[in-house]
Amino acid sequence: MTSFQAVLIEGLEVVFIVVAVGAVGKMLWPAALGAFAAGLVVILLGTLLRRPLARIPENTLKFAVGVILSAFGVFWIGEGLHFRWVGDDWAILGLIAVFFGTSIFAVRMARTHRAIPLVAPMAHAEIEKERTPK
Amino acid sequence: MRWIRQPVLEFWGLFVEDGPFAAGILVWVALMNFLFRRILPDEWDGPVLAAGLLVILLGSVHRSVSRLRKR
Repeated sequence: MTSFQAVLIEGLEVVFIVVAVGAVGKMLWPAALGAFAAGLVVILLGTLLRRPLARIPENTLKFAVGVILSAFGVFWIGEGLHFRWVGDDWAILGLIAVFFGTSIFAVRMARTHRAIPLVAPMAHAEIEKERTPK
Repeated sequence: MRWIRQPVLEFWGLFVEDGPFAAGILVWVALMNFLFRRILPDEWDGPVLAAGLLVILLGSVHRSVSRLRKR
């Protein structure tokens, strides 16, 4: 279900981006072909790297992807509003660093409330069950 | 109406997990575009946009933690 939701959301995002970028520049076909080619590359890489990727803990992967997507998202909002970024495109790296630092701070902030499990309640219950000596 | 309400809510939930968080982002982007960019020097627009969004993010985390704490 998680994979289905992720694919559905990301797929819709790609459609929105392709339509928006293609419609503005009157380049819908090149944008669609580019998205299609990118999709093929992702499927190929996903197939080739399936095993090593599966070894990465899910939450670590979500955290890293979240930081990168947030940084790109903020950068492109600024670009859409014609804001000036110090360092132009290199500002993305700065945004990634800032989002990473803020996210680490947010995790610590959440952890100060010790009573709260930092994973979904069901997963937390399973972890607790595993920890309990038999 | 329940049969249509449930899938609509499910679909909405795919995109919006935290309503105030999403609304905060929209309000901040609108404020930056229509107000602050006229006041701030050009080179400050990007950093201030990012800083505001980070504050909104931390606010969302704080609210989530408080909500879980109350349970």
